[in-house]
Amino acid sequence: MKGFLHELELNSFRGASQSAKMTFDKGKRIALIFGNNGTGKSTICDALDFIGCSSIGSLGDKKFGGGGTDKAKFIPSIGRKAVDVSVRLKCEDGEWTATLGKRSVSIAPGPHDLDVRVLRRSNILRIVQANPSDRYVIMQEFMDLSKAKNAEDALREAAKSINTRMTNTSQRLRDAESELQRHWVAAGSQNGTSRAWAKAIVSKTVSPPVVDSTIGVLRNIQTCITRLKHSISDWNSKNDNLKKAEAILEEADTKVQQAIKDLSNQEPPDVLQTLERAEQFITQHLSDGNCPVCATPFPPGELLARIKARIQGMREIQSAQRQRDETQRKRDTSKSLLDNAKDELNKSLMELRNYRELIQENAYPTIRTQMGIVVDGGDSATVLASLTDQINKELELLQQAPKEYETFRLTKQAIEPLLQEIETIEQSQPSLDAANTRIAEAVKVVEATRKGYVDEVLLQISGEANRMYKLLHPNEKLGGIRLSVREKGQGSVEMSGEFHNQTDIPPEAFFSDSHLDTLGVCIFLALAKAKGNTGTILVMDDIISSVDSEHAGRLVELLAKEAESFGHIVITTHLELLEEWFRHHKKASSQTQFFQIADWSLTEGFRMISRQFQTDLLRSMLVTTPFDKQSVGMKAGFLLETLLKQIGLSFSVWMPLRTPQRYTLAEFLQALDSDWRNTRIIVKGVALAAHLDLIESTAWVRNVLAHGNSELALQLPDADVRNFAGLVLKFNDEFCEEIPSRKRQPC
Amino acid sequence: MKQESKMAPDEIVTDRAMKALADKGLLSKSRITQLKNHFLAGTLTPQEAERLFEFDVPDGRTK
Repeated sequence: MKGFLHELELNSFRGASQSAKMTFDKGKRIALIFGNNGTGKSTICDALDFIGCSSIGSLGDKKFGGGGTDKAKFIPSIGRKAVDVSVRLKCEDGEWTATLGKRSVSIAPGPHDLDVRVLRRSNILRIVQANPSDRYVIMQEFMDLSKAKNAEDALREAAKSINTRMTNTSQRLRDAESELQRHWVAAGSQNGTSRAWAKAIVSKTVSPPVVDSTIGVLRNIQTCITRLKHSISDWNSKNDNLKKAEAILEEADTKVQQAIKDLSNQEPPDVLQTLERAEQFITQHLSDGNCPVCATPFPPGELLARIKARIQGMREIQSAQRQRDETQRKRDTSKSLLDNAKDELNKSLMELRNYRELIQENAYPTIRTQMGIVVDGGDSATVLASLTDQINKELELLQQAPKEYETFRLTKQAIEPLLQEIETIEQSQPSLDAANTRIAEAVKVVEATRKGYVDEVLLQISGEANRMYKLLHPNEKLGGIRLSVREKGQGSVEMSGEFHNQTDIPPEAFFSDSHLDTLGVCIFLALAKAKGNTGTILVMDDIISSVDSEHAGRLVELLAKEAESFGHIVITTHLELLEEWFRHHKKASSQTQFFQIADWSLTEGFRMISRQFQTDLLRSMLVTTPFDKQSVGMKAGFLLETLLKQIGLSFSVWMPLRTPQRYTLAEFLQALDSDWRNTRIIVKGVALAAHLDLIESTAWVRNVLAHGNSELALQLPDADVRNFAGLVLKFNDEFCEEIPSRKRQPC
Repeated sequence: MKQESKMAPDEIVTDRAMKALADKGLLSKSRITQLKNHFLAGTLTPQEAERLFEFDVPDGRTK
């Protein structure tokens, strides 16, 4: 039987100034420890708290003055040190020893999994009157959902993040579409829609135009044409010059020929030379006037004059000849220049031919054709003019091409990322959208599950507490205990109840203190049961300060019923009434082990003594030798008075009213008249009279013995005393014990 | 399958929540297993939760 106690030993622990040991009976689930105030009941409970919960027990609930923070220093018994402290517990699950370390309780041989729950009067109020957040702390272990709650929070944060991302993504999509639209409109709103236009632009692959080389070629052609034109012009000029030079030469030739012809008709050839020599000779040698040949005199002047005239004519021809030669040179020079111009022209044409080969026919067909005409010697002037125009136009276009390409490039550069973003977002948005919906739903599911579980636990605890409370307070129009978590208040448990026609009221505002006490006990039991641990050890330290007999009976009955849900229940009390109830309640007494603590002293500590009830005591006295008829008779009389008093109380028997309420045996017997004896008090078919009439016939024994050592008392046979005592015990066992519990009081 | 009476509250809630997520088809089985492990270990971060939900193809409602 898990959680069942075998032995508890205390050394130097609180009130146990001497080693104290408690041995628990096998099979008894309830240990009832009775003791007056200050005997050490709390020491036992604290010891169980010490080893079971590593707690300093009731000291923890107390408030000390200055320097009272280290409460553990008060655990050792007076005159003992912390190292002397030990609590040893042997139970069904194993054996452990708890010692007091410097800062905490040490458990050897290691941690145990015992579930020990201690209820003290201070705890009762804490459960019942705690504020909602403190009550939550008390109940937290039953709904410790910190991990699930943390995960739920992470999930909620993730949901928020996804939602934010989705909102941002939608905004980015709108921005991108708006920007694309702007580009589309600026570009002339082509292709029907901005998207179609953007796709067309992006899909178009345009290489940068190779305009530089083409422009270079065309410009070279242009230069070549200019040169060609110049060459042509030069050639024409040179050609004109040649023609002019040839005309002049022809004229000079004609002149020379005419002069020669004219002179030839008058003079023989080479006559000039002869005449010049003759002039020289005559000038030098014929100054004397004689002919050298014939030596006849003649006048030289006339001859010389004639010679000079003839020489003059001859020299004009010579001049014409020289002029003609000069003209010839000039003509030859013009011819040479013309040849050079022709070479240049040919060179330009050759160059143009070469450039023509560089021109692609399909790119510039007209230019190529016209160049062909030129190089083939066609109508160059007209064609060259046209060709020049064509080339100029093409150059203009070519110079425009880079600008167009740049515009296209920049447009593509701008819209490509926009289109890409739009497509990426459109592709990812459905997934994000779905994730957003699903995670939001998941958060709701997890939250609802968590809250549902908490509600379920609280409902179970409050339902169980309510059930027990109803057993304690039947027909009292109070209860309806309900524990709930605030809708928006995490970590707080509200408690409400019912009182007469008032519902949903705070119990502490309407219930009496004793009702609140029993409510605390019920909630404590319900909480302990909620764990579902049948090995739980419950410790109740003097939880009821005062209780009437009826409620005490119900409490005992409740504990007796609930005992089977736990490993062991240790109850301390200073109320004899409560102890008597345990003793006389069939179910309770069968599973209760009774302890009694003697008065405490520093030298002896607390001591267990055997606890005997009036009936047990009487039984033992009957078998004790030597037989003490005085004591037996008085005890039997006292027991009879008690039984009759309880019957009188239970059945509301009329008794004389007086203060103090002390009645004699005769008065009790008188009050229970024949009506009560024969008809009104019947147990299991046996009337009260069956027992009471017999007892009454022997009750004189008690009166005799009441006079102490009177002669009559001394002569009284032992047998009469035994008979009287036996009838009283029989009355207790066979009649009083069988009276229904709600009508019965313990003895 | 472990009985709820033998489970810690965290385990019970996690178990129930994961079953509800599966019933509603909010997450695929493999992702539910991952999410459950995170719940029980207390290691779920918002980033991991986003990852689990964003790139998942749920198996569909089971109920």
